[in-house]
Amino acid sequence: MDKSQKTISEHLLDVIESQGKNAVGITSSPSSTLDITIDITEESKTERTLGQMAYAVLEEDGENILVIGQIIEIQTKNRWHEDPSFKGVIKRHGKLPHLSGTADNRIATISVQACYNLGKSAPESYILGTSPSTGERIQKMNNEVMSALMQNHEKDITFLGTVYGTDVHLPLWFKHFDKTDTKNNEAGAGDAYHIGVFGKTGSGKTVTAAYMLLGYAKNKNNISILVLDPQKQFYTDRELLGVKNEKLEPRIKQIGMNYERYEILNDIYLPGDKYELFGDLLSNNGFIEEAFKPLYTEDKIERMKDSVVDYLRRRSNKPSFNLSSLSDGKKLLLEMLSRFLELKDEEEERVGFSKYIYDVFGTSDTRSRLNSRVKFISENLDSQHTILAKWGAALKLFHQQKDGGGRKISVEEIVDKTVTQNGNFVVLDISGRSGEIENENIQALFVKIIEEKIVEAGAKLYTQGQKANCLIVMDEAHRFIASDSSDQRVKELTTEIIGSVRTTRKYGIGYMFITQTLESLDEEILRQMRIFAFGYGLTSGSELRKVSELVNNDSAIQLYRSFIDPSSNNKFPFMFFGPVSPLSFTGSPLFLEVYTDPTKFK
Amino acid sequence: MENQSENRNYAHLPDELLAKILNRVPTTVEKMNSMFDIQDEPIKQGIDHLRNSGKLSKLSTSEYSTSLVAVDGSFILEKMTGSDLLLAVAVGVEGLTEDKTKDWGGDKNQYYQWQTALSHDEANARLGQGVMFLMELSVLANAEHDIRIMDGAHFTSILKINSMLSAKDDSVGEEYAQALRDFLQETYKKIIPDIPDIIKAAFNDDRIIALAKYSSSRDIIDAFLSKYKIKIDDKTFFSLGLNENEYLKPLSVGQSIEEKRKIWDDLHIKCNLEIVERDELNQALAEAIKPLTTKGKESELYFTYYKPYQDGPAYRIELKKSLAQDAARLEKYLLSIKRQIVFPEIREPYPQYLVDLMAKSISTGMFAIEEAVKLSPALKIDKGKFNLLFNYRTKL
Repeated sequence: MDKSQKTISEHLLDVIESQGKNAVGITSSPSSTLDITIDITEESKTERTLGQMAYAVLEEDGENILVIGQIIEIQTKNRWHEDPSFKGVIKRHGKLPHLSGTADNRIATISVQACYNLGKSAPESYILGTSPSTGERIQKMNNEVMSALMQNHEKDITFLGTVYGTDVHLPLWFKHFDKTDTKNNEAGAGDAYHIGVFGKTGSGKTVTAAYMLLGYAKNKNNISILVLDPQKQFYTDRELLGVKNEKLEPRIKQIGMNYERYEILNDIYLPGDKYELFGDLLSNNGFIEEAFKPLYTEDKIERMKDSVVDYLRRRSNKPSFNLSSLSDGKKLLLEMLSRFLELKDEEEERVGFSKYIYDVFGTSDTRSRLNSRVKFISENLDSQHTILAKWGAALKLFHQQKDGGGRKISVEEIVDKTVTQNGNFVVLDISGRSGEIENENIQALFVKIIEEKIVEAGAKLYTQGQKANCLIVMDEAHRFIASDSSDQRVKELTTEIIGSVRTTRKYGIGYMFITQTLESLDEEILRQMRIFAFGYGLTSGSELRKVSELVNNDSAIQLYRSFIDPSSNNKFPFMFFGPVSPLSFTGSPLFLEVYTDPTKFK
Repeated sequence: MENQSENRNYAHLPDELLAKILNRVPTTVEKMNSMFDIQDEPIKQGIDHLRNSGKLSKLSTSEYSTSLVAVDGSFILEKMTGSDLLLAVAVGVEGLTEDKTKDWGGDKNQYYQWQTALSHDEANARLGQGVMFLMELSVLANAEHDIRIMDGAHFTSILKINSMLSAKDDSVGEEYAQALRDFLQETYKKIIPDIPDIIKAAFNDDRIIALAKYSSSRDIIDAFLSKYKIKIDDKTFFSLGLNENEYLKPLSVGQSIEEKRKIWDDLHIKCNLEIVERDELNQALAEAIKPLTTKGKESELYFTYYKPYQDGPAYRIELKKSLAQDAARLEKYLLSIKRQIVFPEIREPYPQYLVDLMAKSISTGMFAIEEAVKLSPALKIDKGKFNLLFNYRTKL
């Protein structure tokens, strides 16, 4: 038969045949459909085996079945060395002549990743219906066999690393969250996935996440991506792909996505009707404490903030009033202070204070003191530079115009670009800036607003029978999601995000959490995740326990534990778990080393 | 409520049985005490006597060889309905050495193996064991090593080969003799009349010594120490009495009248199989073992007891006359053996311990043979007979 007429499966079998008879091992006992025990052959006994991807062609129901798996455990057994009597010989003579080494047996475990029925014209996914027979040859995977196997998936797959400890490129797929788009050849998973990328500092988790995003970006006709970036790493696009001169932005654009990046404090204005948020900002940047001092306790600061918010909310009854369209911030401050001093109704006349002052303190003396302070500030406002600066800084976040000219973008527009539109890659720098406003509390505030808007927009699309099909990336996610955080705002945000993660999958919104520790993430979030990428370093007792609970494969955990600190060899090993590869449909984890050379990404 | 313990008509096995066995332990201990306690004084007197009469010596050499092997064999007979599967092996392993100059290549086989299926016959065990000993002798004779340890005693080989060749006592037929012929042909390209050559090759080589794990011989006690009323065997006597590195100067076997009569005077291998070569064979066999016999002469097979470690046992070692009379070489052999004993973990020379384990692994081989036979597509037995023919036996 002419080669060109051969089916993909026949071609694959030819390629496998051409690899020769050299076997890394022979199927042994006990084996199951998920874990195959192999006896390592004599010629392979000194070769690197751990982590290797291996395959065997087995026969089932008269068809050739290609079984692929990764060697996740290897043991040396020598019955003579296990005999207590011989321990004495070894102790005195160093080894057992003719038996040490020579009588070693190496037994490896292959975690089955995928099976393909080669009886069809193209390899078809297959689940082994029976455990493999003993005595079958197991061969090491190489790029030639892998290419022949992936011939049918070429357009869907992404390569971001090699099989752990080998030079075999490992195919992964990052499908968008809707149905497969045949028109544009973009494979869809039909469902949104939540993704976790974990690893200690220096484990390569950000680089891995960036490569994964490049993979998702290939679905430019179906998906949008929003990166919430609290550390400016994505915003500055600095070494995101692991090397200095390679940037993510041009690659995203090259794929065909629209790349945009914004700084929340300079490029985005907050919704002008979020008076509570404005109050929080004033409280957070010290305006409340400074303008109305002395307040002494958090409780009093909170009450004073409530008075400010209450005042603004009442003002908003006038249609023209909106924090975003305000032309003179100082005038608003003066008007507010004046109102604090006025007695407008009978009740205020009776108690002798405006309700804004009255509600803050409990005694006449303290209320009078606050009244005096408000009066003083109001009369000397021009000289109160700190107070004016703090008021202005908070207010500026609601301004639609940038300082240096140009219009800011609204949160709604950002959400629209992400949730409603496709093909956008938006990086949002949510780091605070030095000066008046800076801390995680503020970041949490912004994230909360964005979250609310995303859920709102997703729900709206859902009611219209459409899917949002977007990926929200949270770098340093532990900053925002920690149920046990001492920061009330983070706690609230955690609840918000947990709710969102739980409900938005059906809207077609997936989250990618990039974080250093598993423990820092809420259990509920972990439960909702489908794809995990574990980099080096989650080896402390409690972390490892969590990884074990998620992966539930002792041998895989042992291999994960064997990862070497990337700082020592510049290799970035990862354990991927979940529907992330055409080779991972049995649910067994995959082990790979992420490229250090971005030009290899494809 | 019914009293279960009174009304049960079946024992609680194996618990009750085990409890009874354990209950008897103190009695057994008591008996062992009585055997040894009262023997302390006679043993001391006996040893002093041997020492004073110049029969003991102390190892003084520092020369030794690491070119040392031990050989052992194993035989399994799997009884099935109507037929028996026989499997015999003999293997040799080296001691603790870094010397790689000696090898087992060419015709100097490190092991021999023989397997067959025969019609069920009580004599099949004789054949298997005899074959096993012949193969052991061949491994010993073909090795190139300075010291080669036979497991047990020379006498045992003679006994088992004699049993094999005198199976007519069990009324064996032509199939038995043919199986022996087949073995010799397949293994050595030899015929039955060549058996004496196999024996001679091992019995005439003074590099081959025999070392017994157990021995009930009282040759020394009966010959020289009868007045001390020592009730234990020679091996136990020397184990308890000798000092570290002390040994009995070799003596020829059959020192006592009892042992001479019982074993060595009439030592023989006599073939009674219905084969044409029988007379010729018997003549050759008699010549082959004549040097070992004691009738009207001294045996050329010698023995010694040697205690390498103070807290360890003494070893009964059989050796050829030429070695027994060469004190320097003998001491070199004894020190070589001592260096192979990794005391206290292993109480026999390392290669002997190892070869024993290796040979015992044969049981796995028999299971494999049985399974492979059962599963062979070439096996032409209909299903009805299959279950009948293949035996059921609990395998651990």
